[in-house]
Amino acid sequence: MSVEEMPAQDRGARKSILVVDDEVLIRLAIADELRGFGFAVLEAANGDQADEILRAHPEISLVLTDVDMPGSLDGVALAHLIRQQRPDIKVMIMSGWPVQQLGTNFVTLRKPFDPAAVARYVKDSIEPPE
Amino acid sequence: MSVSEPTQAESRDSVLIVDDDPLARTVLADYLRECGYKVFEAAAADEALVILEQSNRNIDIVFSVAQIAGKTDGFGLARWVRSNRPDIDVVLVGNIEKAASSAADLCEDGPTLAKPYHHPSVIALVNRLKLARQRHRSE
Repeated sequence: MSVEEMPAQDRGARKSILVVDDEVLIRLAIADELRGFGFAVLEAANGDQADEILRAHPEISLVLTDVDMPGSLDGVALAHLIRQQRPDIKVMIMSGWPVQQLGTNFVTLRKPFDPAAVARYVKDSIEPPE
Repeated sequence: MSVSEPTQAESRDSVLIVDDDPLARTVLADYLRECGYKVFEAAAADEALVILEQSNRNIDIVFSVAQIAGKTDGFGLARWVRSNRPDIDVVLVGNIEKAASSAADLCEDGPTLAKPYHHPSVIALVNRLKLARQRHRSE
């Protein structure tokens, strides 16, 4: 069933995910894959946009963010801000750097990756297979 | 890294929204998706050019803010589309008077809609463009 075919009440119950990446083709590919799973997906091109979207969308339950981005908030700073202000939100970091070098204990997805595999991992994290 | 592209032909009409205001962009994108359109989002005209040049996404309409930060603005994006992808419709949005003056300086068409977005007007325009494309294809 496509998202458009879902009853309105089911669409309203969809989990919301924010994808943050300044590389538009990666952001677009991941967002597309996640929408294919039925999630409501919002997109931000950097940490500052993500912060703005998070303030306006309390329904967001997971943020998937790149690390190296222009602006005042890189991905790690954004992740810490979310943990401080919205601890209910699950954060996953996408990075080409090894986890040890990031110095964080957030779930980290190592680039390069297949967007479809990332979307599947996110889905299984939110809705574990039975 | 390599990015996988969709392999299935996408039958729904698709709109690329180009707006550096994340809240306005995401709300409009959601609205158009609810109306059945396939929607792509770009936070800058430069991002839109990357999507148009480097992805194989089928795009029918580019819906862009005229005055937008970055190397390319909405007018530059519209010029590129007209030169390189004349099959795509372009809708420019902006402060009508200010942007129309800029458009006149550049001999470009001015914006047809103003912000803040009036969603019913946006969908009416997008639907009209869709019907016009369908008529053109059937001729």
